[in-house]
Amino acid sequence: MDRKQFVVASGVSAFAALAWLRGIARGSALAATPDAAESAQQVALGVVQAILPFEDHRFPAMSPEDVRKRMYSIFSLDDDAAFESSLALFDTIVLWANPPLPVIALEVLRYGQPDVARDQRLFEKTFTDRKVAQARFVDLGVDDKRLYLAMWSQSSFGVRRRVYQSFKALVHATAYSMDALWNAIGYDGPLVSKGITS
Amino acid sequence: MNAVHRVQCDILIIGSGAAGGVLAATLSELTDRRIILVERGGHFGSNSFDQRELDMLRLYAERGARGTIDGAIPVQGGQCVGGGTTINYALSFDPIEAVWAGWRKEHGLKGISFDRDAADYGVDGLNILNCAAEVRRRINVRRVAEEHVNDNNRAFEAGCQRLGLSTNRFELNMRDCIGCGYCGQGCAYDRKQGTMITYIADAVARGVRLIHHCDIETLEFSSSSGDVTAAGATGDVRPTEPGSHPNSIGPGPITISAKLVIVSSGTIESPSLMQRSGYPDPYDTVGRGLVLHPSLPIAGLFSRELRNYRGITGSVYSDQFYKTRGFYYECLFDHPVNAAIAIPRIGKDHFETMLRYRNLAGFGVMLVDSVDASNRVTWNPETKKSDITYRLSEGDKNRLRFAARTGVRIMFGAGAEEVFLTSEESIGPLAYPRFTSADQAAFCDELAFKPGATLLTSAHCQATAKMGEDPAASVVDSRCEAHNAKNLIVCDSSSFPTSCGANPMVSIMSLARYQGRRIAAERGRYGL
Repeated sequence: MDRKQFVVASGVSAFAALAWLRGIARGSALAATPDAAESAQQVALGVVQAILPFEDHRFPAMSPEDVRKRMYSIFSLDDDAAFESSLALFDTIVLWANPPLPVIALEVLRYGQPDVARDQRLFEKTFTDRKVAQARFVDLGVDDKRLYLAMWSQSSFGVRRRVYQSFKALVHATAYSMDALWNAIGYDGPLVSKGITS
Repeated sequence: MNAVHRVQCDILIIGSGAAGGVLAATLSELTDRRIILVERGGHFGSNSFDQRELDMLRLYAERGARGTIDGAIPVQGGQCVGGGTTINYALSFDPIEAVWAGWRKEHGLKGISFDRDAADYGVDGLNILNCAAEVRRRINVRRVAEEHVNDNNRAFEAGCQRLGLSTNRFELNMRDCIGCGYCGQGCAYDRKQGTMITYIADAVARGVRLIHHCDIETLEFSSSSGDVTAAGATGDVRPTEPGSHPNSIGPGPITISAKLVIVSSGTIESPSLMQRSGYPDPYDTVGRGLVLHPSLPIAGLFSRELRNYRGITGSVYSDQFYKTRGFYYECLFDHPVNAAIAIPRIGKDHFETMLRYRNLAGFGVMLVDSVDASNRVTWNPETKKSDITYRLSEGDKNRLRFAARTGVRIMFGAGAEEVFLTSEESIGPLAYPRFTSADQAAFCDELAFKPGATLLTSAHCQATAKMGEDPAASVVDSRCEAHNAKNLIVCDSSSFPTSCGANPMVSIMSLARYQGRRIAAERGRYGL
């Protein structure tokens, strides 16, 4: 089945977020590099690492790459240029402090005037002690990846909050439709697959 | 190459949900006219319902992706034969007399009597009470039996009792439910009595032609002497998806001619179809005044395991605040995918909560929201989708805050150790709304309900093609006849002038039964 539309909204989020990201991508070189797909996979891998606690001994034995591959397969994300663009933009940390004008324009249209200065203060508060000098999300350690992602959830931009919810929904939907996670949380799954059909 | 289909009928019904299914059955019962029932989604039988959340998104509008354009609220609905009745939780509320009386008073509606002896439009026994009773019988509405109330519902009931709040048992349209807990994924056992296995089965047995996988692109109109008259519809039949019953027609473009066109495509699609068809709308009323019944989930963590995802999902509710504050508490629970998406946070915080999935309890606030003309549905020709524009009013936010605050206290009263909302908003000293004592519930007053930060949901959209006798303030009249086109009826949840005041399935079906009986009695009016 084609689950691409689920990607676009992923339960809680993303129509406006991806529309925004697509709009920005049109005016940017971020998604036009020859290795865009490979770069996007690295960002997606980082998002998976940030959202799921692979380091927890109670978490099922699987790698972030296993989950990323499954996510790409379930949601048909290979060669999805818009998704790659959104990941590239998420990856470019400098855009947090300097949102392009079209972003602000769309934010005003959808949600009202954003508080850009508040987002800048949020960044400083989140990362001052950690002295984050990296320019890309993929280069952050896993703890900082989580902080960066969580910062999007607290943004004054509605579209940024939606990006967070979108990534969260994609990864959680992927993971919590797996038998291994069901076993971990004590969920025994569909009855029809146990032969209970009437 | 796909064939071009040209089909003729007397009555074309577009949409096979709570309204369309009942209309098809009623009109085939009471007339001998040729009827076609069209459905955009597939005809998936119970043997194809695998109880897996992602797979069963194929039963949902836009495969579960439909939502408001700001992303604040997913707007769920059925897109399959049976529509919402295939994927809902079977919660059955009778039409509320006070609401319909208000529609008569405020919107000038005629008929829709609540007197069992009334004969509206001169038709013997035609009134809402009788129609609701007929619906209840056909879909087997019954109160939940005591032995079917699971732990999650009992916890909610106990919490309400602790606070001195009233509770009730739901009535459900089920027959011998086995309590699998997968109502939202379609009933794999045909125990839920949705329209697919009741009214639509009746209609098809009487000769109604069901065409599924059919996208209706436009309504067709004819014009003469300044009158606009509905004449049919055009669209496209898609190839039948695996798992669906076979279709009654092959794939390809389709033109359906009809003497009477009934649009029953639901609150989002009915106005959209009218807009993209060029329906005359001089007062810009089509699509306006959307209500969503926004719902806010409230979850609690208990020290003990609960039977939560098995058993009848919703069997207890509270209408304690319906008359005074305009909301209900309704007990519901989610399977892991939806639960994981709704539970806030990422990383270890999130996983710790999921590890206690068996210890979770849940219920929701269902707000009867107020009408605002700026909340609307608009056909977007660029994306070829319906844009759903919706913002909570400040008054509605205040009622939700009260409901959240009281709901948190209910959950603690039920015995929860911790309570949380599906929100990432920081309130008071809390990084997000996760409470460790009932005293903290007052911080709910700081909830802003920011889009993308607090998850609200909707499954009861209504009121975008409103009934009323004033053409400047409504789309259809008391007969559900369009003000600006002859032989065009819009009858579904969009026809309600406001919220119907509760979970709408039985109200929609009662209106459809009522209009179906009226149309059959007044068929000369439509040249039938």
